[in-house]
Amino acid sequence: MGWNIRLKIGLAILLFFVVLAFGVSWLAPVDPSAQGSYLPYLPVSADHLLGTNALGQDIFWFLTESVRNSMILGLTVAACTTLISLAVGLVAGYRGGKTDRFIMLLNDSFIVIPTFPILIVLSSLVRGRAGFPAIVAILIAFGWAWNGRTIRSVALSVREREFINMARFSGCRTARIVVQEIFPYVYAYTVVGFINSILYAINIEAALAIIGLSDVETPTLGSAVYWPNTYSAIMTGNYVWIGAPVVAISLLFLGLFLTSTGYNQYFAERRGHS
Amino acid sequence: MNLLKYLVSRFATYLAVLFIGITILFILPRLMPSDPIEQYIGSLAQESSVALTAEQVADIRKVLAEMYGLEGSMFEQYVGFLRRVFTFDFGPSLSAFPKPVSEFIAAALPWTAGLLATATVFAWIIGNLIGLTAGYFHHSRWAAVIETVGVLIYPVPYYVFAIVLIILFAFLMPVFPLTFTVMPGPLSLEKVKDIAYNSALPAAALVLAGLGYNILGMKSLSYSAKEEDYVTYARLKGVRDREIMYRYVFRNAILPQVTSLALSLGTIFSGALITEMLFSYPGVGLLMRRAVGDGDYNLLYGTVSVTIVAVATATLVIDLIYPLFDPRIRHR
Amino acid sequence: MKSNATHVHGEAASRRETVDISLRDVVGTYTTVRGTVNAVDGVSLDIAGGGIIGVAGESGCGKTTLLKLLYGNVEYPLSLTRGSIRFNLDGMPITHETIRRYWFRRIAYIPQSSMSSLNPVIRIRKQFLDRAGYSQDNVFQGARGRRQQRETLERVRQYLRELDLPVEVLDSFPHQLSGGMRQRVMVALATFFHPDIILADEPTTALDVVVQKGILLLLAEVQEALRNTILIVTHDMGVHYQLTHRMVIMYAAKIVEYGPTEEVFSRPLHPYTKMLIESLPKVGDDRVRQGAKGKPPSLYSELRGCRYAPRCPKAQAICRKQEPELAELSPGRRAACFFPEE
Repeated sequence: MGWNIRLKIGLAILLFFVVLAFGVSWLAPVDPSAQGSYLPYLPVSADHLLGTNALGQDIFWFLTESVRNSMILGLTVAACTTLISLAVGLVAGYRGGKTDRFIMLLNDSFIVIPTFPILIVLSSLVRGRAGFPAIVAILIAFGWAWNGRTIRSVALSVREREFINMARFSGCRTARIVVQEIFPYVYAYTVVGFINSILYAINIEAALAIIGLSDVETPTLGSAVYWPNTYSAIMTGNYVWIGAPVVAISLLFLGLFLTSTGYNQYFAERRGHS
Repeated sequence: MNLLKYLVSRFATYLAVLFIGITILFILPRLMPSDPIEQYIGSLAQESSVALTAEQVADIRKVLAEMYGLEGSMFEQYVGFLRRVFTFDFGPSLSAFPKPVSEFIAAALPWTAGLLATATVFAWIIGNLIGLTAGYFHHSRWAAVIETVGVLIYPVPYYVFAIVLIILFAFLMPVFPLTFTVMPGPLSLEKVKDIAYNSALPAAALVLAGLGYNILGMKSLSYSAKEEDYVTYARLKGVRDREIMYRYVFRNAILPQVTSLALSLGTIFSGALITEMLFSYPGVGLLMRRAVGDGDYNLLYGTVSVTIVAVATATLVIDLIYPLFDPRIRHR
Repeated sequence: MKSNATHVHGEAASRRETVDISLRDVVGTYTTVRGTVNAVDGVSLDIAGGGIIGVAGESGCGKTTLLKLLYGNVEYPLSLTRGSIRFNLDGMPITHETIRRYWFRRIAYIPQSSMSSLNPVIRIRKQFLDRAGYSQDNVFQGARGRRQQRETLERVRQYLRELDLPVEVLDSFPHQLSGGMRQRVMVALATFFHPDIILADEPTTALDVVVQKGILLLLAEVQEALRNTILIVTHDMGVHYQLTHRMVIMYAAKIVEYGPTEEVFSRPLHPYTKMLIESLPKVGDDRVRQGAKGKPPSLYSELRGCRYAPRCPKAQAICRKQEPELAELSPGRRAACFFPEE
């Protein structure tokens, strides 16, 4: 099969989280974000896999729904940014010249501008609690730039080669060549960019939530850290409450990263570059 | 001539970043359905027991409009906003009225700059050194160990490091303080030590978060540089390993690393901001957070604008330094 | 261009005794994922005297590997699994194990990809200075080290003038030079210390014809001046014809013919050589070129008998069962064939 160790471990981790998020989480007996469903501070047991927290919520079910919401957010942002970065990168790389320079000027600007402070401004405008649609919009608006640059370099290098073939293919529609010839190269980078975008989206939303500026009523990985942090779970010795989401975040990101680089390596080897 | 074109394009990017960033900042609140003035008046009405007359409300509205920079046409507001940013005069802080925002920022900026610069330089130097040797001695066992360590710490976000460090070293093993507490007063040796003691954890969090990227990046660049023809040829000339590692591998691998540092400054800055917030470190990040909590519009805009300008400027500086490393840009 | 220049420079004396290169049943093996393959499979040859010796053959015949083995550039996945390589420089015996000590001073290598063999971020003059044996007495020795640097650089400049290369090249970076100029710099680098043996791997590939000619002339001049041995590997028969004094033809990891170039071209002994030469276009002759049918055998499989037999028009039963020796059919002429031409 040729899958390297990184790819295998990464996919295994992602599979675990996907099952958790989209399989297990629907099985929650009550709405995990509803407070007071259970007695607070219950220890880890068969009934409550990770115990309950100060708000009377089951930590495990809260976490699984958090993972689900974060992943939905990540996938949505990633899908949109990938489309935009593809369009931008292909047009810039293929057209070249002034179009390329202008697009890259915009692109690089968006890479430099830090997204996080802008999100903070956003959240303050909605009285401290930014809603998800707005967050998603900003994440998409700023998230396409990095991959845009990558796709553009691929398009540029393929274009160099294609010119030679184009002479022979004269008569064949340009669009068809772009899709059939160029896309296989772009494909791998698109996949890698997609995975990286998921990481980026979940990460920034979590950062926003941890400082309480996102919609913390909705369970996401960030809000799962926000609540124990606010309730000083560290002080009260409720390590599971804050530890579980921290571990979940680290593990999920590790899985995404391993999959991303693992796939990169896999594709490079397939093309004979190992 | 290449050098000139390069410098011009970098400068153009700088201006574009500033322009686009500031414009977005300007547009954002105006896209929102809520009106900060109305909100303020609304909360004022709620909190005070005295009813306000229509006259008083109109007066307040006028004063607020001026302070918020919301008077006049859209274009006038925009020009006013630009002027505010580039003169660093953001008006008075609304929660600590009438102290000007720029005073707060001026006080906080050195803290952020110090923390950021120290941590970034540290992570950069150490990370690249480790990565260089690990990539050069790619087949040794400890290179694999370094790779694993890098892979494990790279995806971990800034806030996780902050929280974990707080739990480990400020709580479980209370070596460092939980929040930043430095006595105000003149700078003395005692105070410097106190600052260092309080800054240790946030600095450590930043270093750890930045290290992974440098290690992994440099390792892979160093490894591929080692496969290059000019390294093989140097080896065939009998040049010694140490010289090859420095003169051939490092000098070439560092180039893309400088470029990616420039591109990741936004991320590093954002990471520093959230770390400050979690540690209550008296930098720009904490100011920003407080501004949101207090509804201090001017302070918030001041800090965010300064952040954007700082990131853009730092990127430009690195871009300007790059030709010093790469003779292909310096000479035609 | 200058010719017949005989100078005394620095380390090496210009007067030379015969350089002998002696290969005895040399087997060079690559370890790959598909298994081991002998890229050079039992090569024995004695090369005496100076001159330019060409190594010809199609891609994959083992000529580059032979060069690597000769230079002593033997690193995983390549290994010398059998046989020995001996050099006799001024009566000093050197084996393939000890040759490393003489890298760049008595034996030099011009690699195949000279375009990218120069460090892009270091000036050319520094690349003249860093080499074996120099770093030991390097700049960190203070004034003495710096003086040594200056002296060496002065000698380099002088040498460049002799080669008709512009001295400004030294202060440039590689990207500022044209491909041809870079290749000349590589030749200068390789010959500066007047090595007894120069190994050149495809020195003219990827250069246009005019520049090629310049490089070939340069190499010829250098050899004439230093009176050393240059082994030049190239698949371009035209280069062999113009430049070399003697030729080695390789096929499927073995040497199939050896002799003075003139003779090899006019009266090839081995059928493969004959095919190679006949496939060269000649001016005024517009017959359709014939190549041989088929391709060289895969070196991963077991090979018996003469390796060219499957393609050889004269192959007989014995050719498929037994391997012909590289026999000396006349003084200075060797061929590995049971039924040589003429």
